[in-house]
Amino acid sequence: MRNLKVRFNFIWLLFFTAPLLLIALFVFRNSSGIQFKILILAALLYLAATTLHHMKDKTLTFEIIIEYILIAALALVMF
Amino acid sequence: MQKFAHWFIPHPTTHEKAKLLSWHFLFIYFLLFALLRISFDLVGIYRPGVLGTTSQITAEKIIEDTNVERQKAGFSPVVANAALSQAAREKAANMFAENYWAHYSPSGRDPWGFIKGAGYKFSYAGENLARNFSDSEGVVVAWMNSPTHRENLLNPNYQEIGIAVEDGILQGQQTTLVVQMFGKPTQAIAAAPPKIDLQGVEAKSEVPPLLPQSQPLSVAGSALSSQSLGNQPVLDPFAVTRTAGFALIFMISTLLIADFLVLKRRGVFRFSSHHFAHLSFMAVAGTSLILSKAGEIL
Repeated sequence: MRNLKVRFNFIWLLFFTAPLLLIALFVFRNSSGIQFKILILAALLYLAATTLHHMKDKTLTFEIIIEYILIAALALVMF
Repeated sequence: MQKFAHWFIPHPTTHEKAKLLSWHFLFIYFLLFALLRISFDLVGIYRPGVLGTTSQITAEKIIEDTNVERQKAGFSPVVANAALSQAAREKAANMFAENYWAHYSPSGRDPWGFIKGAGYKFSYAGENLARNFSDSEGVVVAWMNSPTHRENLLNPNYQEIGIAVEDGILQGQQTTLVVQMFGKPTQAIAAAPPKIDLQGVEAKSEVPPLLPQSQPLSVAGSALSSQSLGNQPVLDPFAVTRTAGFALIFMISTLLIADFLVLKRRGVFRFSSHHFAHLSFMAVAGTSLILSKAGEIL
């Protein structure tokens, strides 16, 4: 019998969480404060998922983590 | 030519990502945005009134929309009252004078003080505030979407309304303030204790009963604090930030898609190329920008 092993991927976790965050943003479209908190949550999730992914793959470098932090910070400063 | 192309697509031999996607450029984008925010703050301090939001709000339309919502909920419409409008105007003027965005002034003045000061004797009163909305509909929709403001707007106790739509410089920005005051005059219920409602938070106030002061007016009455606003700030910081944000998100997303397609065509795998992760986050950031609004309620 073939051993079916599903490899957990943090990046896909982020990909599937994004629609939920989009729905949450729409639901709270009239509250800038809550929208900003959702964006912070998305940024933290993005950082955590990508960092864990690279740690698991042993490919985490300073350049990669800086890149993710800058993209997350950019989204927050744009809001 | 190849050097120029590498700004936008991966390097032809090393497959290093486009220069505009490198962390150096991400840092530059971040600094530019931070600089933009700081510049707005500095302009607000040193050149008050240059920044702001253009607005087309009228008191009549706010009263009309408020009454539409009240009637939809099965409540009687509120009637414009000169004294309440005067109280709302004075509240707005005080907010500009003391430079605050709150129900209570830094010097301790409360909303019902303005109402009583305008000669309106009430058994119930309430206040909603809004600023930096572009139109009247947006103000009422925002209040209706906030449970506490909605409760105030649909309170069956209220019979009269006063609206002030005033322009001025608040916290360095050209601002359109909307002050909505509700009231029930004392003669309507002779001996009941007066109540005040700031978005659903009730408080009692010492008001002598049976002192009718209210002067109900029609919506188009002359006592309305109505201004068709003509404030023309030079720059709308919200619009500028939003446009720049969209442009940047569009550019990063386009470069990521180009990067993905080029690498796929070349059959190259790169460790740090999680296009879907980046694009998912860009989608969330872009949506938050689309749904963000300049207006604030209190």
